[in-house]
Amino acid sequence: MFKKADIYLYIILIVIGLFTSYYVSSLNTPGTTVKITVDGELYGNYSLDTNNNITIETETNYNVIVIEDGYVYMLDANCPNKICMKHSPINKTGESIVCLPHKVLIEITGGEEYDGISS
Amino acid sequence: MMASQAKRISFIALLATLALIFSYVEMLIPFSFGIPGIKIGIANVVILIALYSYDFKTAFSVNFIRIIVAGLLFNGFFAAIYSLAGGIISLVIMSLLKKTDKFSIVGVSACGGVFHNLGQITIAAIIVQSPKLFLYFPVLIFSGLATGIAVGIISYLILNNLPKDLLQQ
Repeated sequence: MFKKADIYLYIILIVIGLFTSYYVSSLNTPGTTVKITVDGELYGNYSLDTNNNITIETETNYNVIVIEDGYVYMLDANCPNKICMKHSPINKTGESIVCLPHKVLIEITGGEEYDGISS
Repeated sequence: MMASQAKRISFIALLATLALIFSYVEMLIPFSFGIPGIKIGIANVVILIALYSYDFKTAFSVNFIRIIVAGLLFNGFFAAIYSLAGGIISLVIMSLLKKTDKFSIVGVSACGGVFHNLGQITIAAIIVQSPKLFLYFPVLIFSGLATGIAVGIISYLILNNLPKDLLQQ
């Protein structure tokens, strides 16, 4: 069931995994801004510090995004698989929640200016 | 010649059906690690057995049929695209590793699991046009490794316990 070459394979994969996770964790600091992109185009930037409800609506799709106590999550969406709603709340730069069927992307960034759509 | 071709086709159909049932069973199990999209991929046991008992072509056919039909029946069009990308890349990698004859079925499967995830995240990153999705890379490597090893061990046990003449061509 096991061969010697397998062990090398596992070690290589684990080392790559550890190396990339170290790299990724060094990028992750608590962010300040929520950036929402729809179909590759910027929808809006929102402050992570202000509680907010953002509803993205098109003719057939809707996504309800909630900013609460410094975290963002997808409260509701009418996409077929609801994977975006199962994602745990995010607050660190580089983290993202994606609703693939609707091509909605929520990202955390730091230091960017947010505009006044929120209120 | 005719007879063996007919046998091959019926085996592909049989294995595809089995894989489809596994996909469905997996969907019924509520199973979450906090990160969406991670699952064991029990259906890959069938693909791996097809690869080891027959050849790349058979495994490819089985996987292709499974993903398209699962997409039509329950997963949806988008899921089918991701599965297809992951499935094809992982099958190519597994087939190449198997050809070197240096790795066991568990090692081959582990690598297949990792590349399955990487294929999916690549397509996802292209569709939402954000390279930031690659920040999932480490998670996907470890989850692919773990699920790949699990699938490999199951496949190994099944292959060793199947009657030898069952899968002979």
